[in-house]
Amino acid sequence: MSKSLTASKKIMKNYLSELLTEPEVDVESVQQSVVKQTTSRPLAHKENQSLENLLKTVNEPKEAKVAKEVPVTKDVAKEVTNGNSSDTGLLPTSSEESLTAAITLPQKGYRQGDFQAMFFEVAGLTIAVPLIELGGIHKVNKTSSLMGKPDWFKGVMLYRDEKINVVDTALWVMPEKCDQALKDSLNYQYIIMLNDSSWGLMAEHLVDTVVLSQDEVKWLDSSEKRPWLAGLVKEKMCALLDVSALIELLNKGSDINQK
Amino acid sequence: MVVWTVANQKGGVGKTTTTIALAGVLAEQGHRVLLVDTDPHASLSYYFGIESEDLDLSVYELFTQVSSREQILQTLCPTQYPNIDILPATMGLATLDRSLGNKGGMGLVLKKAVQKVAESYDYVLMDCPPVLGVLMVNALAAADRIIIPVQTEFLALKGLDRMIKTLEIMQGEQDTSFKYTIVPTMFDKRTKASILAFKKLQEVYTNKIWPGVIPIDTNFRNASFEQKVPSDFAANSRGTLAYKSLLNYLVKQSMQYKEVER
Ligand SMILES: Nc1ncnc2c1ncn2[C@@H]1O[C@H](COP(=O)(O)OP(=O)(O)OP(=O)(O)O)[C@@H](O)[C@H]1O
Ligand SMILES: [Mg+2]
Repeated sequence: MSKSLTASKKIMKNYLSELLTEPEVDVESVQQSVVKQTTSRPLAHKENQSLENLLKTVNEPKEAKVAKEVPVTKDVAKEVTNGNSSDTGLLPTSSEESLTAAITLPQKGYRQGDFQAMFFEVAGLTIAVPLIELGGIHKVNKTSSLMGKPDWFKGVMLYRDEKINVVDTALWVMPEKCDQALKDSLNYQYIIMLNDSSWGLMAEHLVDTVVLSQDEVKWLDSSEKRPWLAGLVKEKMCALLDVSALIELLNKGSDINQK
Repeated sequence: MVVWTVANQKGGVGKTTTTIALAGVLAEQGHRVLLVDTDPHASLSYYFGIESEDLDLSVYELFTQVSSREQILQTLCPTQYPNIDILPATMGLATLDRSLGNKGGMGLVLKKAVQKVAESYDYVLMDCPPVLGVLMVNALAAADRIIIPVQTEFLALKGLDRMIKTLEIMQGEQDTSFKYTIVPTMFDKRTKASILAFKKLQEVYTNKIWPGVIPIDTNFRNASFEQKVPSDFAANSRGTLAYKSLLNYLVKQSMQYKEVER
């Protein structure tokens, strides 16, 4: 069984290797040798149409902006890797800017129409995060703890070249309930990345992803006491995180009581 | 220009739908999108009302003759959306595997072709046939990121396994590693099988999988009858919203790995 598998793998490997390796003779000449005579004139009208389209994209103001959008994204990519954040219409807001954005522009992406949220569990508690603000999910790996950090700061986990700041979610969310027994019982398996920040919340289980409508959430807008809480998902009576506010708190080193 | 290839060796998992839905949202956001149809069934081309058998030029010709930038631009067909153009497929493509065999380097034809029109597009989305062959290899080799739709049901998980293995073997033949994102499709929250499959996917593929789901939504089929992209046909449908959220995630991932900074 395993022998035949290896054999088929070898065949695949040879096939792919052949296709993906440039021969000594230029591919283009190989192409020439299988030329199928294209006698008829290429569609002249098609050409004009698509050229017209291309020209349109250059001329119309809306499209002109578009043409610039890729370079903008490039800059953002740079900034993100520098640890700064920025905001283009396309990207969800992140860290510092998003907080100001939240004040001046209370409508977040998920504050209209239906949106998806992912539910996860920590110490029997279910927490929801809007998918649009979820940066990804990692499996828990070794974290190296740092000295002089709050209890809830579990440490730094490396993923490729990326350093993830890992938060012990139970300790952050309910510090007063976290006795040794509870701590020992925690079985963290996943890290839920917050937007494009380097913060990740540890989770024990992933529950599911659900489409929520606006009235399935009791919104708690601009709660000064609990900025990290966007609202409560009515059916499950669980917290829906305000990810950008949470990132802000974590950056400041504050826990849930903002201390 | 960023190239995303939508692929899975399993059929009917939502590849073409995903390609079209993402293209629609990207175009709506003002990006210039090129669609490349590599499926001899030409369902992507057909979606936009292109009768590709009536055309003189298609993706096929890219494989049989060296094409200049101008020639490639001539091969493009406009769609009813000014920001979306398409490189159409024809049935003839089905013969490529036989006529080319595995001639050296023929896996890189599409990659070279789209590079020639790189200035004209922000995003290139390639739709693949559900078979591993010279066409899928080309589309994969051209990709900055591979999007793998997978139905949330158990049989589909098996197929996914095979697809990932293909990528791994292919990876050995290229100098860069593949970046891929698995996308759970046709999710039915009322069926237990869907939920179980979703959990299984998350468990096995964690950071390789988009944490959301594309729900079952009849709007997709209805949109295709009207030859409209889903975001145009039903802007606030669950399906469209899910694809918007997927796009958001893909862009975030692309920036994280600096694919956009090529
Ligand atoms: N989320 C969805 N909800 C409902 N129907 C869907 C959904 N996604 C796709 N479909 C429908 O399922 C069918 C198959 O989808 P699609 O053509 O996108 O799959 P594919 O992977 O491209 O198939 P093939 O392998 O044959 O190319 C289509 O009729 C499409 O309209
Ligand atoms: Mg298809």
